[in-house]
Amino acid sequence: MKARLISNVTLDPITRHFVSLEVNCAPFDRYFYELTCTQTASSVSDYQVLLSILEPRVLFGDSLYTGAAPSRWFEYLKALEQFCRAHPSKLVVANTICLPALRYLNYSDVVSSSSLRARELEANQTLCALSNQYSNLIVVDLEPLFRKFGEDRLLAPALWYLARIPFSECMFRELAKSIEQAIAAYLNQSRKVLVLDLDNTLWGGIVGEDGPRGVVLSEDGRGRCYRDFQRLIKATKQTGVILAICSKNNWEDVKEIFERNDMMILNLEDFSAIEVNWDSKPQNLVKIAGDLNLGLDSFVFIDDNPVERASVTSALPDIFVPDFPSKVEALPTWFLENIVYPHFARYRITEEDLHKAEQYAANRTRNQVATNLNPADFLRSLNIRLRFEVDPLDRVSRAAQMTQKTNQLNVTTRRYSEADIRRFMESRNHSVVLLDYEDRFGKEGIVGLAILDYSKGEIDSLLFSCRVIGRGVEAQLLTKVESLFRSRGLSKIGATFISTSKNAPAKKLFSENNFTLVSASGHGTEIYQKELK
Amino acid sequence: MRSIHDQILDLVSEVLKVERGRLAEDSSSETVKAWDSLGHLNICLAVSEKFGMEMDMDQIENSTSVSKLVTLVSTHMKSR
Repeated sequence: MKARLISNVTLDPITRHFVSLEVNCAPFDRYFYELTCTQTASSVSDYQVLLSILEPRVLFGDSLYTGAAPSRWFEYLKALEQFCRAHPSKLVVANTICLPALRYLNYSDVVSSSSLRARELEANQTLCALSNQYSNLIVVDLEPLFRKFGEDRLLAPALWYLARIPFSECMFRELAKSIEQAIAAYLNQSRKVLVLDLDNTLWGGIVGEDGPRGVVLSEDGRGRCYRDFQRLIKATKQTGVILAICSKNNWEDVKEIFERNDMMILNLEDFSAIEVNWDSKPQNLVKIAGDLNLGLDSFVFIDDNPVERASVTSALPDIFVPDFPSKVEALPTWFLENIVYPHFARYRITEEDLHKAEQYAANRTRNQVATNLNPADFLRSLNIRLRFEVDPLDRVSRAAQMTQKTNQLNVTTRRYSEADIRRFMESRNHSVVLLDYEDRFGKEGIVGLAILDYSKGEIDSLLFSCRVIGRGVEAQLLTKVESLFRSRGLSKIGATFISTSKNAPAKKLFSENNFTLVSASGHGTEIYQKELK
Repeated sequence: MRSIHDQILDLVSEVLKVERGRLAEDSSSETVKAWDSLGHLNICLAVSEKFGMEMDMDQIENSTSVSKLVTLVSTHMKSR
């Protein structure tokens, strides 16, 4: 992706540290002009992302020495808001303010009503409120970087006074990383499944040898490292990460430790797939992917054993398999830094994220029922209730998330940002239709999405979560789509299937629903049409 | 371990995107086109990070050649 970087200081050295973004810097101190005069700035069409990275000390100006309200900051936020509103399809990244640790009010800064600390908080809250109002604005927080690395390592006083370069190499590197991770999180490019080994991973020792209560897992010492690791895994599950177990063990031993060791934080219900046996790990991981109906490239596998890791890496290169920390005290921080931030990053957490694990668990129960009934009886027994929502502005995040994440049952695989979805919803020429699913085992939430383009008379996007494959919901969404086209006075619908390496399951969607194939190209693109009666 | 001299040449080559073979002990902001003022600041950032040293304003302004950078870093490493 192409990005434009605007600032009030010299940030050119950061460009070397971006990996996925191709960054072009605006001239020095031109941020205000670029935010407000975009009609004349021809460059605005040249990039998808605007990085507005401002140095707080400059924006605070005299306020840094008086504690007065930083008027320049609030003027900046107005300009930023204006840009976000005028360019809903541009992604905008802005940083929070993090003022220097040492301040003129020294020890009184913590309690004084005109403290810089209070000003800083107020300034940042105003920025975050904008991000909640404008879905195309991503806020990147500088404070965690200063907490982790310290101001002495991140600021560069000599370069600052010589050349208006505020930051050290370390800061440029870490800031570039944070920006790219936040954008990836916003675009929902994260992985989905965390698969865990058990012995010497979730606890110290081997349950089959040390016994369910003899393993290292406690509230102090080494045992606490594993316990805190479990706490973090459980917390990560709350953000929508699917958990699974892949362990060479006896099922009886594993069951016993989960049931009888009261130091365990995780319980068996936290896991959406469990493979405990003596088969090879790659075999079991493939089985888990099949059970969950998710691609291996959405998996992270954590195992303390380097031989097992190597076998997985060589057999299944799509799975991310990190090295395991050699010191157990590093485990909790290692997990956050190397697993959560790079692979399970989130920017906004949706309602579906919160219930994802229960949905997959309900699916397991459904599958068990399905094996005992014939397909028609199974469908009837589910007691499915569907609800359609057309252009619901409060579901923008989830709708964008679905276009970003759905690979298999997706006819055109067009990826859209929240800003794109909002534009479709607000446009007279488009509708965004969401399908909400519930059955007797539980709520699945939004599982289907269609984007209709009335001006072209065609279906721009049509996709379904693979969780509902085989439950007959596809036809019902298409029926709804047809009625919407009909209500616009259209007599036929056009539709396109664009083949990708993953969407074979979507290939028959149109022909099974009485669309006629009009033409097909050699690249796997098919054009369909259906007359509306 | 590679000598400080070689490490500096590697680093300058990487930061300025100039082939290693085109740089030598006497390369400087006078002789290398990419070694402009921004290029120089990038070199200072990278040298500070790599050798864990803080360059003061005089050092940044004066260390505009490979040989001067080598002297600066060598002095720093000895004083540690």
